[in-house]
Amino acid sequence: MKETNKAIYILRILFAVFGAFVVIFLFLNHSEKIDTPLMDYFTADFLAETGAQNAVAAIYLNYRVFDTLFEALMLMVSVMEVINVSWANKHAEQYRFEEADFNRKNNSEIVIRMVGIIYPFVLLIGLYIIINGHVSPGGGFQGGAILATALITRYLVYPNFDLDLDMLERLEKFLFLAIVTTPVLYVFMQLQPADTVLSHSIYMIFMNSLIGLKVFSGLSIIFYRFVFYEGL
Amino acid sequence: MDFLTGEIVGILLFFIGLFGLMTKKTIVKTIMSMSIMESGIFLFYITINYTEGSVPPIGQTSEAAFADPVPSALMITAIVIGIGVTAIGLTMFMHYKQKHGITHWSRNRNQQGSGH
Amino acid sequence: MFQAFLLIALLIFASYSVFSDNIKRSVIYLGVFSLLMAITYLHFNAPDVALAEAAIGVGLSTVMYLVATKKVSVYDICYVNEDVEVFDDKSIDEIMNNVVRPLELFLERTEEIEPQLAYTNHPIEKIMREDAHDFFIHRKGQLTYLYGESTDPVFQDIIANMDEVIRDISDIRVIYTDEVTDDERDE
Repeated sequence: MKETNKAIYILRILFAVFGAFVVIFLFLNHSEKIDTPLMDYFTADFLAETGAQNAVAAIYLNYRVFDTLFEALMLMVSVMEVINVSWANKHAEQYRFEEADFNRKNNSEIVIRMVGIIYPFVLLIGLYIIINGHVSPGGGFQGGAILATALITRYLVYPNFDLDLDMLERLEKFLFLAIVTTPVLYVFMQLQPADTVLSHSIYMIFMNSLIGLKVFSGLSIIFYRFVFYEGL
Repeated sequence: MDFLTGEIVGILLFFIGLFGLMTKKTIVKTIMSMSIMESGIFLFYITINYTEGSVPPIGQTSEAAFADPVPSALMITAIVIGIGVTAIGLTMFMHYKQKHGITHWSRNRNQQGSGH
Repeated sequence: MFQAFLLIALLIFASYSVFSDNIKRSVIYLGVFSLLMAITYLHFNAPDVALAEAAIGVGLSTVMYLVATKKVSVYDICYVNEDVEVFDDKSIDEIMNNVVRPLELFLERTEEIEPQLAYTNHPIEKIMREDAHDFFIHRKGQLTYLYGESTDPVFQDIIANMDEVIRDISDIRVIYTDEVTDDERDE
């Protein structure tokens, strides 16, 4: 019995090494250098066409906005999956809204004080990254994730379940509707007030804020479900 | 040293993750191996059109060539989907742990450990 | 040069987090791997992806893995020595090298289970009645007793490989707690 296990183990090692060698050999010897027409088109004049100084934001908010729509859909589907697969659904009544009671679970003093100092700065950098997503690195996804980590730091000091998850779920679905309708009206149907850089920039900021709030609410629903419903 | 490029390291990371997927018996380890495989693919995509001395595609400077923004825009969405996949995997793991007491793939290790 | 350093460190940390035996340790290695991955994206001129990876890979997913690993089965070991007045680091160090470390290594390598140890000097009957540990090590004078259930496969494995696990102590008695009669066996 042990001999066969060892033989299978060695076979797996050989399979992984052999596969890596085959793929690297094919990549090094038989890969063609292809032209990059997409990159040339996207980086030619993206400021005048889309109003974004960041080419990545120009791509995912204007040129290839379909990607963003389906990505938002995927995130919402995964939030639904996390909510509906969970075993805690059958007895979800006992995990209801808790009254605020700061001294119920006492934590380390150092953690509480340091998180109290850091917390506003984390919120600030999240909002900054969302709002400046079109002129500097950043955008809705990154800023939303940073806001969700701010919620995690809040959980470290104050581990009580006083967040209304139903409200967040409803907010997320509403935001998804707004995310779908805004580019459909602005990009596809060209219902623009003026074809200027200023109008495009306002569209960029609006879309980034919508995406940021949606990613924030989705990731915080996932995190809070995780901690309070499953992590018993 | 020019053998060690980002694409080759991406392929190697993919196969390290695949090996972990094949051999590890813990379910959490399997999900971690999957996220390592994902990281390998992201690295492969990011470095596929990398040229030395380019600048990030921000602003309108024309002294140097821009780096390719297309893989970056694709990989941002892929990273957010990756955290969704990880969350679903961990949720299903917790569900099975609560319902059947399974934390390992092999069959004779069920119902082990103390009940927490 | 910097690029080579980053890429080699990526490979090393990925291998650590896949091949490591302890789950908590490999979660931390995965966090370090994600941080290095973010720096690598920054080096390859993709600052947007670096921000996303730093926020999601290092912050969110590490915390989610840590919450999930609370669920992985822990093997609960209790070490009882009634002769010691106060359990401090010195008395733990005495047994660290010949009992505790080999047992932990054996559980991590062959069973892939997280060991968790507790030390106490309360009387053994009280602990066995009140706390539900999986495995007891009871030290009484020169004798060492091991308590466990006969239906527990991990306990059976430890007993079967006793010669490899604990080498230094020769006088060990094994007691199955569900067969409470004087079913003792000299090793």
